[in-house]
Amino acid sequence: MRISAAYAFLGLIFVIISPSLINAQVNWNINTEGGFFNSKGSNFSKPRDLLFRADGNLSYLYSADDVSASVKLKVRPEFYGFKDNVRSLKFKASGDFYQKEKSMNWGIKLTGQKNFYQNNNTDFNYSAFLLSVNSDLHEFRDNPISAQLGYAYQTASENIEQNLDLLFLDLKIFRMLFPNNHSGLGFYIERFTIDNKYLSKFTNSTSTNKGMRYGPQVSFDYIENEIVSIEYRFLLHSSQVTQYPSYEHWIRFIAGKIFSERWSIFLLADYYNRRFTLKEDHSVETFLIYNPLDNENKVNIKLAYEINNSFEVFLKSGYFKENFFDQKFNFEGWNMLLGIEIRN
Amino acid sequence: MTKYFLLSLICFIILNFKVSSQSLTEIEKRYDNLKSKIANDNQVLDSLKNILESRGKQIESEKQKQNPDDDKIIKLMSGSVSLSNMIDDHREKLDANTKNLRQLSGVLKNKYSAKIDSLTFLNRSSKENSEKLESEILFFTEKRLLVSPQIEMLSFNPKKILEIDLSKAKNSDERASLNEYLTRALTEVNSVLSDVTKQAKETNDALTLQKKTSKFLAETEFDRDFRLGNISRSSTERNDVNAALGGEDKRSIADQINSYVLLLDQLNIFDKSEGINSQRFIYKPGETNLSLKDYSELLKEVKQKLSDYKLVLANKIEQSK
Repeated sequence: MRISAAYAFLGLIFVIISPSLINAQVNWNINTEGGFFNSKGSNFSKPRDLLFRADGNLSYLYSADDVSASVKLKVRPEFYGFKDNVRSLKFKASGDFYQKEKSMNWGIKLTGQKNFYQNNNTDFNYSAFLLSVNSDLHEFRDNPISAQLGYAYQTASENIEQNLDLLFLDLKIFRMLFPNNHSGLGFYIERFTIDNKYLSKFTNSTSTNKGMRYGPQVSFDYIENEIVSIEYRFLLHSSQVTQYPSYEHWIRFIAGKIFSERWSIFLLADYYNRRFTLKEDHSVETFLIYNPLDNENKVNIKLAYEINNSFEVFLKSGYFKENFFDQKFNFEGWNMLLGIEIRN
Repeated sequence: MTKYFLLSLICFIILNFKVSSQSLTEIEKRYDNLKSKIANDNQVLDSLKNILESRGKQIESEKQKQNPDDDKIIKLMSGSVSLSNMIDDHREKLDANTKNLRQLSGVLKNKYSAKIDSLTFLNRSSKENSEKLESEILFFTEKRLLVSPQIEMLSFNPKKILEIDLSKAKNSDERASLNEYLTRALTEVNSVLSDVTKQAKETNDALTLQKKTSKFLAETEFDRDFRLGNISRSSTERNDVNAALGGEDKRSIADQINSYVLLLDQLNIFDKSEGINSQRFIYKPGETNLSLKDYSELLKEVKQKLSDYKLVLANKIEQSK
């Protein structure tokens, strides 16, 4: 129901902005990439094989004097190996609307996503959507404030069957510490509910876990001939299955540079570390630990060469290590991919 | 759920077809009609304002009389209320039409630009009909300048310069002095254009870097929005003009931006209601905000205007030889 509402809302944004096509822009791009991957700790795929991935993106952007809106559609099929392989298909649709006022910008954004995973033995899928309202206040001289309030929902099928609902508020105040810099200090708070249908079906134990995550965050951005961005968040974690002190750290580092006009290089590194202490050390409780999908430590690097405005070749490499709810599981790997991008 | 998208897609295609199928002449006709309607409405609005003002004076003079006629005052005041309502209605219609005119001028500008691009391409690829093609390029460039918003960064009046007709010079001395005046104006335009081009390149480089970084993040993390521990927007997505042009102090950034806005207005040779709203670029640090994208748009607009103006000016000088 919630997912259908998300798609209906996206459709509505699309219709509302259609009549004003004179200020609209349609962009598309297709990426295809292939190479090797190596993984360990998973029975889902082979430890070493070929990886092929394609990305299709279509976006419709509208902007007038003080208003902008967009609708974006993305699709990504992935094949891990060609024989007895793992396949995945991901769809994503998002729409947003932004209004610029004299001393404030505000906007609303909605995103819906559906992922399908399949191999010869099993298949599962998960859906998610996110609705957020954000504003940037420029009322205070030299210190713009950013606020974001949102609701997100994630549901997974098959053996996981873990639903996650959350409501969050993200506040940040910014300051320019030196030329070309943007530094931020803020607070993040989130109320979450985890509902594990697998537990309620097969055990008599509690199948829900409610809790909060809250704590400070800092960010540092620098942009001139290169871009450098660092973000850090420390969150205290309180829930029905964890006991004090439970907490988590998250650090992100991004760097990028365009050189010799056509070459560019980008780096992304995420480090996530959590220290959760369970109230009762039963295996059942581990199924109720806060654990959104795709929460992983990773390093990704991309080197690209732009042949012309609509054609690019690139080399990508990445390392990841997944954080599962049961930390005894260990799933990690790396990949090396060569790809091309065609765009309008 | 997919039916909503299909329905939206059909609406999108129909509306897109409707707009793109209109010919240039049809749009120009609509533009001219709307422009004359706005001019008429402005006249009507001015007359209504004058009547309202004279009614106000009549009321004041009646009140100042020793024995004011209350019935007359009431009659005048009720008439003023309905006049005031009429003015509001007219202003509302005028605002809507002005907005439509701005949108139409955007469409025309895009169509003229497309014509100029294809004619320039033809001119480069074939030497045949070069003269005819060049005159057509000039024709559409002048048309684009007419529908674009107009620069007070220049020491001369751009509109007056365009009105100079060397063929009407009374003697060779007058012709020579007008020619010198035009040449000096061209040198000034070239100098400002070179500064704007440099600034536009720096801004575009920063925007391209920002855009490519966001794209790299989006493709690396397809599921990024749903990494719920990191749900907020990436800081690489935000950057106001202050942070990006932080090499200079805020006051000089503001002065620079606002002088470009003035330049844009100065080149807005014709009706100021046309084209983009340059006032949205006015920047007061700490009071209003301007994104790097807005600044880039402003520079692009100023650059385009100056280039068009340079072409027309160079052509006038060439004709005088």
